[in-house]
Amino acid sequence: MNKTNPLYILLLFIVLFIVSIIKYNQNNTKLQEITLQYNQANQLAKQYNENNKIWNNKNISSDIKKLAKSLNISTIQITTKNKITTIRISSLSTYLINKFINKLLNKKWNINKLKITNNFIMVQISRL
Amino acid sequence: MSNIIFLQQNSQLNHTISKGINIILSCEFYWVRVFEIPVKSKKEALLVVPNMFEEFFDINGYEFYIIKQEDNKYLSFAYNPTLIKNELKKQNIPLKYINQIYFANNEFTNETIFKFNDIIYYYENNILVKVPTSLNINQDIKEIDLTNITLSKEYIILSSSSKYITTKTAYILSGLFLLFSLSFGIKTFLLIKEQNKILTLQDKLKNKYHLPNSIIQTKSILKQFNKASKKYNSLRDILAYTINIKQYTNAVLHSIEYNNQRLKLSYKKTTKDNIKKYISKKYKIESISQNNDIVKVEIKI
Repeated sequence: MNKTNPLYILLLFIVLFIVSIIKYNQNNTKLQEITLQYNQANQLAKQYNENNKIWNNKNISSDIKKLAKSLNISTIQITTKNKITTIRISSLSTYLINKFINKLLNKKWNINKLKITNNFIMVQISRL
Repeated sequence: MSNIIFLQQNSQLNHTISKGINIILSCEFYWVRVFEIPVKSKKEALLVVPNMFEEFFDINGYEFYIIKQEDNKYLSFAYNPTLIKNELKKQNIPLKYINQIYFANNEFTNETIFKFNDIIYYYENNILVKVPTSLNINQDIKEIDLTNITLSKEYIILSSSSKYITTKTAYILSGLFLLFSLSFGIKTFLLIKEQNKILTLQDKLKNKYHLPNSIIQTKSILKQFNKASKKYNSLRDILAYTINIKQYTNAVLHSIEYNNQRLKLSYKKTTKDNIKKYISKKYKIESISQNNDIVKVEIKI
């Protein structure tokens, strides 16, 4: 049986050590990349979720009803077709028109059409 | 062919070595003495032996081996690995093929006198000595046959390491490098575990926030959201500006119509010039007209 030269063993472990350092560094860099990707994805997801709630609001009709109720507006007509909701309010005082528009514009909506005269409001809001 | 080689100074092998062999060192390669040392273990005796040999020769470069004969009595060997290695090199015996190295003193105890390669050896007080060739003994002496030798359990192993790194240092360093490698291996394993954890979290994000299938899709939808937000902000700003006209002029807003990013406004109790002056401060007017007392203006958002 041949003896193994201790220097060969030392060399083997030095190589193993170098390989382990390289692997460690590679995985460390990979982890940093993955962490960065995750943080970006997380930020993107939160942004998406936040925006989705605003621009893809499924409760347009009930939200508008609440708004009208808070101003004691009863002459409201709401129709929803596909993703488009049309609100019509007639026989309104200029004061209530101003109030309603102010409150409406305090929240974000995807307004497609808007018509205001001295006693009538028509708003068309759509979901994205 | 025997796998034992009796190593004598200035002799030459008549065959090449290509397999594992054992070496028996002729007595010119080592010093041997029986020392009485008042210690119980070989380990303790080994600490003292170098000093005892020092009385006879310069021990620099020598290594030592001892055999306990009886209490406080040790058969001690001193050998110089460099000298042995040099001789092996001279005789073309590669170090890598050498398994164990034996001292001739321990291997021919069944004989009292013998010869090998015309050199006569004999035991005197249990110590093997070489008979000087000048003595010219005419006795009929048996040539020793190495194939019939049963080797003792007392042997040394020559380190094949360099003169800069001893075997011990090499093993210590190997151990350290192995330890470091293991430590980095464990750290790498933990990193991979952490990577998998983050990747799982990333997958869960999709379900948690009901994201579209791909990042590209998500980004594209976000772009639409941003566009809608910009459009909304512009509409809000322009409405705020155009409704507040009464604070700066006497105009009264009569109607507002917004469709397809075009805003049509009509004002009463004012002139075309007043409206134009006010609105063009901030927005580009697409068209403006006056019909009786109503001024109509169109702005593109």
